[in-house]
Order: sequence, then structure tokens, then C-alpha cells
Amino acid sequence: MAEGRSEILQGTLDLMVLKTLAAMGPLHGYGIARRIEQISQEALQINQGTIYASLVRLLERGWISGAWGASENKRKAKFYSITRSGRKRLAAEAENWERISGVIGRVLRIAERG
Amino acid sequence: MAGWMRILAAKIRWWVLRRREEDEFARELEEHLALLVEENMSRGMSPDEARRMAHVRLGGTTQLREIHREQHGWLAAETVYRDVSYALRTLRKTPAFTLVCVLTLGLGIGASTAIFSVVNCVLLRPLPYPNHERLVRIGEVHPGNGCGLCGNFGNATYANFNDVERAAATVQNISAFREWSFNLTGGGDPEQVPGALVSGKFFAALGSRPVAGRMITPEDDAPGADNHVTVLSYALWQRRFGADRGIVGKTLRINAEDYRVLGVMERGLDYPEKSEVWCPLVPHGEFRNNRRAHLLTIIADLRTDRTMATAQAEISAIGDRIEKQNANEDPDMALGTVSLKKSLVAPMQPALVVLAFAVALLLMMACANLANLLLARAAAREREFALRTALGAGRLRLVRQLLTESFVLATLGALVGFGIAAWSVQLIATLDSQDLPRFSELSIDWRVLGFTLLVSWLSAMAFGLAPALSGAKTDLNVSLKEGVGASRGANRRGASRALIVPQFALALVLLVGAGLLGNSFIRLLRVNPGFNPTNLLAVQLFFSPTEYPERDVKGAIVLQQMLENVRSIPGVRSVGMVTALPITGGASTDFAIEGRPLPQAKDEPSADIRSADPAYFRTMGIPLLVGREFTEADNAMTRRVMVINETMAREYWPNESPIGQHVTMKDWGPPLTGEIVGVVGDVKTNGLDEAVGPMIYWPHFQFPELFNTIVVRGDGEPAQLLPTVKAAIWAVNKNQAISKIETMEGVLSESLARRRLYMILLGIFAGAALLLAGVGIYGMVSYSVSQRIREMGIRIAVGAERGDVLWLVLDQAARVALLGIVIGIAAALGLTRLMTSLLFGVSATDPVTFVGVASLLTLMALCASFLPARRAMRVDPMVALRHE
Repeated sequence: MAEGRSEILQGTLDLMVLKTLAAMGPLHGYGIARRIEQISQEALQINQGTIYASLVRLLERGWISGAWGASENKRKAKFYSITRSGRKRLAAEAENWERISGVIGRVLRIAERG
Repeated sequence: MAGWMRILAAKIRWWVLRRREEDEFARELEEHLALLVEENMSRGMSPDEARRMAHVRLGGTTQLREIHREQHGWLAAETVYRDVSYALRTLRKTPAFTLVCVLTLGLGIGASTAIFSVVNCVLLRPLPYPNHERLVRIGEVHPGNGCGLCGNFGNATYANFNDVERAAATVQNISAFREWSFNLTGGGDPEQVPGALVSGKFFAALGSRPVAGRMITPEDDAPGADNHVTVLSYALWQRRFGADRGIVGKTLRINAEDYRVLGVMERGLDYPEKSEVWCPLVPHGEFRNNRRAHLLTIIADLRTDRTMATAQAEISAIGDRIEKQNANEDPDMALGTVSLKKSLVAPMQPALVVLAFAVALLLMMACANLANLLLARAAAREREFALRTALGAGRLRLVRQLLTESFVLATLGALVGFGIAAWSVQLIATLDSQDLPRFSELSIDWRVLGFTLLVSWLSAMAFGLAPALSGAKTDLNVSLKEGVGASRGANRRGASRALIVPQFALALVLLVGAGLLGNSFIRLLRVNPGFNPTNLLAVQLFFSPTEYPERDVKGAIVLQQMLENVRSIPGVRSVGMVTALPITGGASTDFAIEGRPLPQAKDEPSADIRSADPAYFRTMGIPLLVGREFTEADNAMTRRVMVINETMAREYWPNESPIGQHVTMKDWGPPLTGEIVGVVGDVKTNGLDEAVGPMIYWPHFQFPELFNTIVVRGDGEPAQLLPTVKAAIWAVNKNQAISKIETMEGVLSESLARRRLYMILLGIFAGAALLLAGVGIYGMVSYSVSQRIREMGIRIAVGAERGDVLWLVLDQAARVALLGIVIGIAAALGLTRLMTSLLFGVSATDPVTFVGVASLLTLMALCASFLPARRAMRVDPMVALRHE
């Protein structure tokens, strides 16, 4: 992978997919992948296929739901949308994330000083 | 819904729909690719370049689909799958061990399940009647006749039934019935079906409902009411009347009279004794006050607010009162009450208890054997585990793998066990004889199968786990350097012996049990029935009382014509008739000898009575000992004569000739006196295993009866005569139903059916036990030899004779086996006493059986140890010393 791009952790990808769906409404797999790439300003170049592993996990936990619909090109595509329990989960995970990244940030700053 | 449940549901859904889901995912990926291609082309790439880059950004679709499938699949399940296939591989590497384990478990589970299914079906399952919980049987108990607590009651008189019905408050729906035969004629062959005459509340007591029409109620059994009504069983309705609902209200010819069909009872009801027709029991005339004819079975419902104990106390008090009021007529009569279920299974109870014991013993043996095998195996694999621990395998991982192996073994064993159980239950069901209650309901009991599975699984787990747990304490260095440490090996050998000893003890107990039953059976087969059963055919004719009133000579005349007709059939050597065949029981009476002081009513002697024609004794091959047989001249017009059996002559005229003596029969209507004209040999009256009592034969013209059996001796296979015999009978009366068609050899064999069943069941057990004990000691000796191979090598190297080595091994095996056998003998001496009632002609401590079984087991132990012992003998010292 090129410099400046990050590999992402499984759990993080799940969180990003949830957030994307919460913000954008129903999207198909390609849409989700593009959206994440765009928001990260191409810093996160994901292998778009990995999005599907995340989608399966989220589907099985009932945090998102999937339904077939028409894509921009009038072809059939599967659209995913966040469910109510998915929103709850997102809120909890986001808060968790904030806390952890805050802690990690502080730890890193201490380390630099030391 | 809990999170894991949601995931589980999603996985199950995916698994069920996986074909469709995978197709959909493929389409989803295609669409994704198409969108990527469009995006790339809009950035100015060539179509080829766009497609290539799209694949790069998405990733390989095949790979993605694989990942997708995995993601959806069972992660845990897949690990289990890996463990299971590893276990299967390991087990395949030691086929002998695997086979022995699987067979051990299979035998244990299979045999136990089969036998327990029988026990359960007969003893434990509720009766198929709605009221089964509260149904009780009330019966008479006379001194020396029946036992109150075990439910083996005598039948009751109508007067006693009446008294109980009036007085009892703890029970309701008190009703009486008498088993009866019904000749159905018109529409199809005449047919004799079993059934009962029942009092009005009979069906109410059972709690049974009709499926069509109505059942018999108290308004049907009152004298003077319309008593010519009948209720049919579901089975008869299906079979003879094609399930036609229009049968209700129609009239049937039953026993040569017209009966109106009231209704059809619900499916499955066939009480008592496979009944198909029920008619009201009507107390005509004197019958109501009769205290001598003990003909009725009384059943009732325990009231919901009363206990069995209060009912027993009340009924017994009523009995005492009746006895005091009628001491002259029916002295020493007492009334007893038990649950109907108990009374039905009472005759089988001792055998079933023995079998249940056998089940427990066999299951214990199987578990002990399995434990032994697993322990031995674990010891052999100690190094493997030590190595894996050294390489960093977690203890949990090892435990899991061992558990998986045990689980796989137990499951294979369970499959085999299930097969054995299914097969044995089928086998046992084909051994069915009418004489076993509720046998038609026999099937594998799933709860029992579940129980045995659980026990064997648990034992497999427990013993499979032991090495993993103790393995943690293993000193790795010692194990790796020295192989199996000598001290540990010795410990394990001790444990192994400790498991073999009880197996031999258990096997001995089971074998002794089976041996005693087998011994009894052989002795029974050798019993002389008192007649010659070869080539004898018997058919029963029931003369309905309306056509041939009881004690009327008309029936005897018709019967005589039938006998003449049958006699003229070619291939028939001799024909006779009797009211009840030997072996199958029959009527009896109290009697008095003329010229001797009358005894107290309760001390009156009693004898079986039969009516027979002049040719009966000759046809059956019953020898005439003194005097003469009946002749054609002994008819209704001439003086009454009787022939008695040898036992009666010996008991009552020990030092004089009974010929010319007069005997009065008391119980069948007005007393009848006859003169003894002959003495014939004894025949077994109630079965080969029952002692013969006094017997009186009347000429059938002087004492005609309703049930008559024609016996035909042919030149060859008697069953071949049946069509012509039937035709000969129907030539006299085309409406005569013919039933209970049997050969006398069949009667004898049927009379032993129950014993044969017990013997086979216990025999299966004993065989399984013998096998298990053999496998067990084989396993123990092989293991011990493999552990001591180096020692053997050294012994041989320093000059031991190979024979010495052989003896060393055999001696060790023999010691273990003998210890087990001695303990087993002690246990068997205590336990076989439970079987006394099942034995015939052998004592429960029969020394021949004990010695035989002990020798058999010892021999088997030596044979089973000989193979591994020979291996020890052939050890090449050089190989053995390099062994570890």
C-alpha cells in the first residue's frame, strides 16, 4: 500500500459503514465503498471487496438491512440501510471510539514528551 | 432477541437459502464491478483498462465469494468439524481400538435400550385408557388362593359385586364383567370373537367414549330392559363392517340371537383381553344372589378426593362384613383392591425386575469397558500429549481434542447401539405371544434410548478427559525421555485391573441368570405332558346358549354328528372332544365323596372338571390305568359315571380301588353325583410347570357344556386337515363359528412363550456380557503387554524361557478374572434368589450352573488373553530393547 494510506481494522470498517449509512441513507456496496474513500479523501484506499465481509457481519447482527432496488443505471442492485438497533449501536460505538481515541491521543502525547 | 440468537437465526436462514443467497451475492458483485467500470471509463480509461482496474479495486470475485461464504458459515462449527475430522483420522489409525469401543458401546446401548423398552412398555407406560391413573381392580381373596397385595385376585360372585356396589363410597363407577365368546354369523364366514359381558358402568369406569352411537349404560343391563344390545370395538367395526357408520341401530346375529348395535367404541379399546364385542351383563334370576360362582372381574374408579389406601381399607372392611353375613356360603372370603395396572402386570413383574437389573449391569459393564480402553489408550499416547504440550499446545486445546474424540466414539457407538436396539425390538416383537399383556404396543422408547446415550456419552467424556487432566501434571521431561514412566504405567495397570474385576463379576451374574433360565427351560421341555402332542389338531367350538341351552343334550347330539363327520375324513386316525384342552387351564369344582364325613365348607376338596367323549383319551394318548373309558352307552339316559385322574385316585383312595366309589360335584348348578368307572393318567392341566391336581371327567352326554374342543389326530401334519375339518363341521351347522385353531405342539410351545422370551432376553444380555468381559480382558492384557514389552525383552534376553513369559501374562489375566468370578459368585448367590419364581426344576443356587458359568468365563478369559500373551512370548529382545 502506498504511503499515507492506512490499513483499517475490521471493527473500524464496520463503524464507518454504519456511519455512512446513517448519514447517506440507503446505499449499495459500491456506493458505500466510494463514499468512505471520498470522505477519507482517498486516504483510505480500501480493497472494495472487503466491504462485503463487513456488510455480512452487520446484517447478521441486525444492525443493517438489505433490499434489492434499482441502481443509478436502472440496473438491479442491493441497497443497504441502517436499522434502529444499528443507530443505537452506532451511537454507542461512536462514543466508545471518541473515548478510546482520546485516550490513545493522550498516551501518544505523553510518550512524545517523555 | 438476544444477539447470539439473532446471529444464529441469520446463519440458519443463510444456510437454508444458501444457493439463492450465493447467486444473489454474485449478482451484487457483478453490479459493483459494472459501476466501477463506468466510474473508470468516465475518468477516461479505455474499456479494457477500466475493466482491469475495476477488478483490482474490488478484489478477486471468486475469493470474495469464498470469504463471503465463510463469513456466513459457522466459524465455531467449522472448528468442530476440523476437530471431528482429526478425531476420525486418529481413530482410523487404530481400527481395532475403535471397533472394540464402538461395539462395546453399541452392545451396551442397544441391548439396554431394547430390554428397557420392553420393561417400559409393559410396566411403566400408562394404560391406554383415559382413567388409567384411578382405575382399580377389586377381587376376592381366599386362603391359599391368590395374594391380595400383588393383585393376583380371584374373581368375584355377582352377590359380592352387588354388595360392594351398594356400600363402597371411596370408588365410583363400580362395574363387573365376565370374559365371553361371541359367535358372529351372517355376512361373511361365521366368526368367534373374544369379548365380555359388562355391567352398565363398565365404559364409564374406563372413561372411554364411543366414536359412533353410544356405549352400554346402566339402563341396558337391568333385567326386563332391552338387553339385546351390543357395542363393537373399533377394530371389529373396521374389519368386518367396513367402518360403516350405518351399523349403529342395525341388528346383528350374535350367538344365534338378534342384538341391536348401540355403538362403536374408540380406537384402541380392547379391554379385557382383546375384546371386540361387549354385551350387557344381565343378572337373571338366581344369578343376582349367587355366592358360589366366582365369575366376575370388578373394576372401579378411585374417587378423585380419595387415596388408594382409604379405598383399600374401605373395600376390605366391606369384605369382612360380607364374609360374616355369609359365612356358610363363602367362608374366609376377603376383598382386596389394587390398581388395575398393577393387576395386569403382576404376573410379569418378577421377570421384569430381573431384566431391569440386567440392563443396569450391562450398561455398567459397557461403561467400565470403555473407561478401560480409553485409559489404556491415553497412557499409550502420553508421549504424544507431552510432545504437543512442549510444542506449546494449550491444555484447553488438548482437552477439547480428547473430548471430541470421545464424542465421536460415543456417537459411532450410539449409532450402532441404535441399530442393535431397533433390530432387537423388532425381534422381540415377533416373539410376541398373545399371552403377554400390552405387547402389541412395543416399540423403541426414545426416552430410554436418550438415557442410555446420555450415560454412555457422559462416561466416554469422563474417561476420555481423565488423561487430559492428569496429562497436565505430567513431567514433560520424564515423559519425553523415558516414554511411559514405569511407575505411571503400573498405576494405570492397576486402574485397568480395577475395572476388569467388576466386569467379570457382572458377567458372571448375568450368565448365571441366563443359565438358570435356560436350565429351567430345558427341564420344562422334558416334562411329560401326559399326552402325545404329535399330529394333533384342536379346534374350539362355542355353542351359544340360546341355540343349545346349557345342560341340554341337544348340543351334545349336534357335536356327536360333527365328530362322526370329522372321523370319516381320510387321513384322520382318531377324533375326540373335551371341554378344555390340557395346558390351557379350565373349570374346577368342589366335590364330596359319598360315604365319607362332610368336611367344613372351607375344607372341601376341589378338582378340575372336564367333559369328554369316549374317544378322547385314545385320541390324546392318555393311558387308561384302571377300569374302563367312557362308551357310547354312557348317555343322558344311563347312570352317571366319571373317570378320574391318577392324582385324584392316589390322593383320595391311596390304599383301595376308587372304582365304584361315588363322588358329588357341588359347584355347577344342582349337585351331581356320579360313579367312578375308570382312572386315567395325569395330564398337565395348567401348563408344563404347574403341578397336576385331581381331575374329574364326565361323559359329555351327561354333562354338556358350551365350550367344546375337538381334537383330531391325523396321519401327518395336522394343519393340513383343517379345511376338511371345517367343512365337516359346517356340514352339520353352517353357522358354527370355529376358533382357537391350534396344533397341540403349538399349544405346548405357546405355553412356554413367556419363559422363552425371558430366556432369550437374558440370553442376549449374557452373551453381550460375555463378549464385553472378553473384550475387556483382551484390552487389559494387550495394554499391559505393550507397556511391559521392554521388561519382557529383558527377561528373554537374560534367559527366561518363552513359555515362562507366556505364563507370566496368562497368570496375571487369570488372577484378575478369577477375582471377578469369585466376587460374581457371591453376588449371584444373593441376586438369583430374586429369580426363584421364574425357575423350574433347578434351585437358584444350582451348583452345576454356577460351576459351568465360572468355567466358561475362565476359559474365555484365557482365550482372550492368549493372543496378546503370545505376542509377549514372541518378543525379540533386540527390538524390545530399542523399542522406546
